[in-house]
Parts: sequence; structure tokens; C-alpha cells
Amino acid sequence: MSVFGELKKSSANHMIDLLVDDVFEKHQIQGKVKNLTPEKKQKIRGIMSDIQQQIDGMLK
Amino acid sequence: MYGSIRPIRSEKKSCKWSALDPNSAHPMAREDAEVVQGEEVKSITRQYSEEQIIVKDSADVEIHTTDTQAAVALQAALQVGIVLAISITIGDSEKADKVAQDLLAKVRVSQSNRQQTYIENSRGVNITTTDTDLAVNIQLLLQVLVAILVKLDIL
Repeated sequence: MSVFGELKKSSANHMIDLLVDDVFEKHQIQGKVKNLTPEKKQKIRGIMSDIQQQIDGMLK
Repeated sequence: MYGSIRPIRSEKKSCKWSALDPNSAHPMAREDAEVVQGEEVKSITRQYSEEQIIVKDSADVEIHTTDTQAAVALQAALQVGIVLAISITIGDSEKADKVAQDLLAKVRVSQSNRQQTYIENSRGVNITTTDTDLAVNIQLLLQVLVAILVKLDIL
């Protein structure tokens, strides 16, 4: 399982999902979401991966 | 013989506020003042960390400790990441700020951490310390960020 696969699984943390859902609903975000290009998505994934590595390094 | 005690008030007209004068307006009071409830919810994260390790008359002592400054920087990076992800996806940085503020306000944290370790007259000691509060906060923020990215169909 990839790093993000594991994270996705843990994001089944329902409380946080509900929190994000609630705030997004309040600000009506879902209707405004733009389709990002695959390159942009990849860039964001890269940033996430960096942060994830730093956190793993710090907490091990 | 004791008479009744009356507050003595200076006769001099002074602009100084007197607690004994019911007609005196407090300098902070404004007649036209209205109580306005702030609409924005502020996100407050207070952290105080202090770590002290004292090693005295000892040999072969190995210490591994969390770099608190690095941890705080990571925490800031995660908060920026949350704003960035929302901002890029909806193309409205002002709205993104408000959403992030709402999210972070709900994970408001106030913590204080003090660790003190004292090693004296010892040999071959290994110490590993972690600022657990900070670590938990970082993990929580990471989970929020991941949840946002999944919801925005980025992850």
C-alpha cells in the first residue's frame, strides 16, 4: 500500500471527515471546486509527500 | 466617639476618574459605545514547551530529543498547506482563508509542556524524549489536510 493509501485509509477517521464536510457545507465549497490539471495535483501530492516525510522523520 | 464613615472626595475638579463618584465616567467608557460581537472566529494555538536535561557525573549517556522548533515549523507548514489546497482548488484565497480559519478554530489547541530529566552518577544511559503534545497536534493537522485533499479529489 502506498504512503497515501495508508493515509486515505486513516482518513476514514469519521470525526475529521465530518468536520471537513461540515465546514465545506457551511462555505458551499463543493459547488466551487475547480478541476485541477494532473500536473497541479501532482505538485500538491509532492508537497504532501515532503511534509509526510518530515513528520515521519521527526516522530520516529 | 466615632461618626459614620463618609468617603472623602476631593473638591478640585479633576479629569481623573473616581470610583467613589457615581457620576464620573470611566475613561474607557464611551457613551455611544455598542457591544459588537465579532463575526470571525479566531484560531488560537498557544504552545509552551520547555525541556531540560541535566547530566551530572555520568558517562556514555546518549540523548535523542525532538527539535521543538522544527516541529513548530512543520505545524505551520501544515496550516499553510490547508489554506493552499483550498485556495488553489476553489480559486478564491479570501474564501480559503475563512474556511481554513473555521477548520483550525475547531482544532484549537492550548498546551503547555515541561520536561525535566536528571541523570546523575550513571553509565550507559539512553534517553529519548518527544514533545507528545506537539506530535499529536501535528498528526491531527495532517489528518485534516489529508481529509481535505481526499474531499477535493487530489489524493
